[in-house]
Amino acid sequence: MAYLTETFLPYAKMLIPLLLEGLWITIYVSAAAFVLSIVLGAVLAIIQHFKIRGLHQLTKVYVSYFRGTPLLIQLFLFYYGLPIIFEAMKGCPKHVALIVCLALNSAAYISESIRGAIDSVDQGQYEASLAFGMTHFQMMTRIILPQAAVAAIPPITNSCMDIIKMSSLGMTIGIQDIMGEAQLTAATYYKTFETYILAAAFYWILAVILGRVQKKIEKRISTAYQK
Amino acid sequence: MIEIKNLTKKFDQQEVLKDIDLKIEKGKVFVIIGPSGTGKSTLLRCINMLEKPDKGSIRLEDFEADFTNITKKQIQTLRSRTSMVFQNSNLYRNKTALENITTPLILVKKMNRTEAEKIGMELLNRVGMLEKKDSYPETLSGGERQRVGIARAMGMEPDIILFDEPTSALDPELVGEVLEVIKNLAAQHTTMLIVTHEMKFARNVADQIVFMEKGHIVEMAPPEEFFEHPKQERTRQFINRQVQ
Repeated sequence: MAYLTETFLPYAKMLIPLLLEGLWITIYVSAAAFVLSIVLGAVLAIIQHFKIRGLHQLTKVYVSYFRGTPLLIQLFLFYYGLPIIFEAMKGCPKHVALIVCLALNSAAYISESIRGAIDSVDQGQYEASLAFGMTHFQMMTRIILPQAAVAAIPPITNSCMDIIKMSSLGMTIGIQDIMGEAQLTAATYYKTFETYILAAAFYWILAVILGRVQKKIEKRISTAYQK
Repeated sequence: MIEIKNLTKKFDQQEVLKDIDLKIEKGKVFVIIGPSGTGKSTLLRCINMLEKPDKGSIRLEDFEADFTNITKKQIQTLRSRTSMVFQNSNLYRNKTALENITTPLILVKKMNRTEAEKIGMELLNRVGMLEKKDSYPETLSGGERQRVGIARAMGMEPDIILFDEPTSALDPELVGEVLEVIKNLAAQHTTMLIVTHEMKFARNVADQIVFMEKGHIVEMAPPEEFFEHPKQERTRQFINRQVQ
C-alpha cells in the first residue's frame, strides 16, 4: 500500500502529463497514416480487383514487399537509407517519415481487406449498375464500395489498431510519442515498470475507444442489410 | 423502335447467337420463348452490352452502333436507353426502394433530387410499392423486389425494357403480382422484350412471340397464329410439350 501512495502515485502524477503530450503525437501520426493508408489501400484494391494492366503486377510486388519485411527496416531504410542516395530527402522531417512508412505498410494490408470485401459483393450489383449506364467510377463509389464497407470495417479497424501500436516504433528515430516519452522518462528515473505499465494503459485505452467507434460505425452502415 | 441486325455472339469457340435479326416497333411487346440454353438471356444481355457481341449492329430511333467498333460513349448511351429487369432483381442493396429508382436518374440522367424523387414516388405508386419506399431490398419479398426493379427500369424512360425471366426466381404465389405489373405496362404500350417460361402470360401479353432454339430465331408470329398454327415442326413439338 505504501508503495502505491508513496512511489507509484507521485511518479504517475509527474509522468502522465508527459505521456499526454506524447499521446497527441501518437494520435496525429496514426490518424494521418490511417487516412493515407485507406486511400492508397482502396486504390491498390481496385487495381487488383479489375486487374488493370501494367499496374496489377506492380501492386502485387508492392503488397508482397510491405507485408514481407519488418516495418522497422522499412522505416530505417526510408529515414536513414534513402537520404544517402536521394539528396532531396535529406530534409525529410521525422514525423513525415513515420507517417509515410506506416501508411505504405498498412496500405498493403488494408488493400487486401478491401479487395476481399469488394470480391464479396454480388456480381449482379455490378451488372445492375452498368446496365443503367453508370460509369465505372459511379458504380464503385455509389454502389460497390458502400456495400463492401460492411465486410471491410472489422479488418480495417484491426489495421487501424496496428497503426497505433506500430507508431511506437517512431521512438527509434527520436519521435516523442507515448512510447518516446515513456522511454525517455524511464531512462531518467530508472522506473521501467511504473512507466511502461502506464504507457501500456494509454495504448489500451485508445484501442478500447476505437473498438467502440467500430461498433457505432458497423451499426450505422449495416442498417440496410438487416431483415 | 429497336432494330438488331446480324447479331452474333460466341463464348470461346461456340456460337450461342447466330446472325440474329430482330425489329421491334415502338409500343410493341415481343416475348421470347424456347428451351433453356438457347441464348435467350444472352440476346437481352447483348442488347445492353452486358455481353459484348462479336458481330452485328443495333439501331434505336436516332441512335445507331456497330458492335464491332462500338465506343464507350455509345455503350453508355445504349445502356441508358435500354433498361434491364433482372431475373433476381439485382436491386442496389445499399439503397432504399425509392433510391433504387432515383440513383440512376440522378447519376446517369443528371436529374436533380427533387425531380427524381417525384418520378420515383409516381412509379412506386404505379407498381403498388409506395408504402415501402423507404424499405431496403433485404426486407422486401421477391415479388416486391421485382416490382421495384420494374419501376427502376421505367424511370429511365428507355426506348425498350428488357425482361430477363422476371418471374423464374420467384415463389409461385408471387409470380402473379409481377406479371400483373407487366401486363399493365403492355396495356400502356411500353416497348418491351421479355424472356419468359410463362406460356399463358406470353400469349396474353405479346404482340409477337419469338421462338428461339440453338442460337437461332426459329419462328416469329402473333400469339394466336403461333400457338394455333405454328409453321415449323420444331415449334409444334415445343408447344405440344409445354401444353402437356
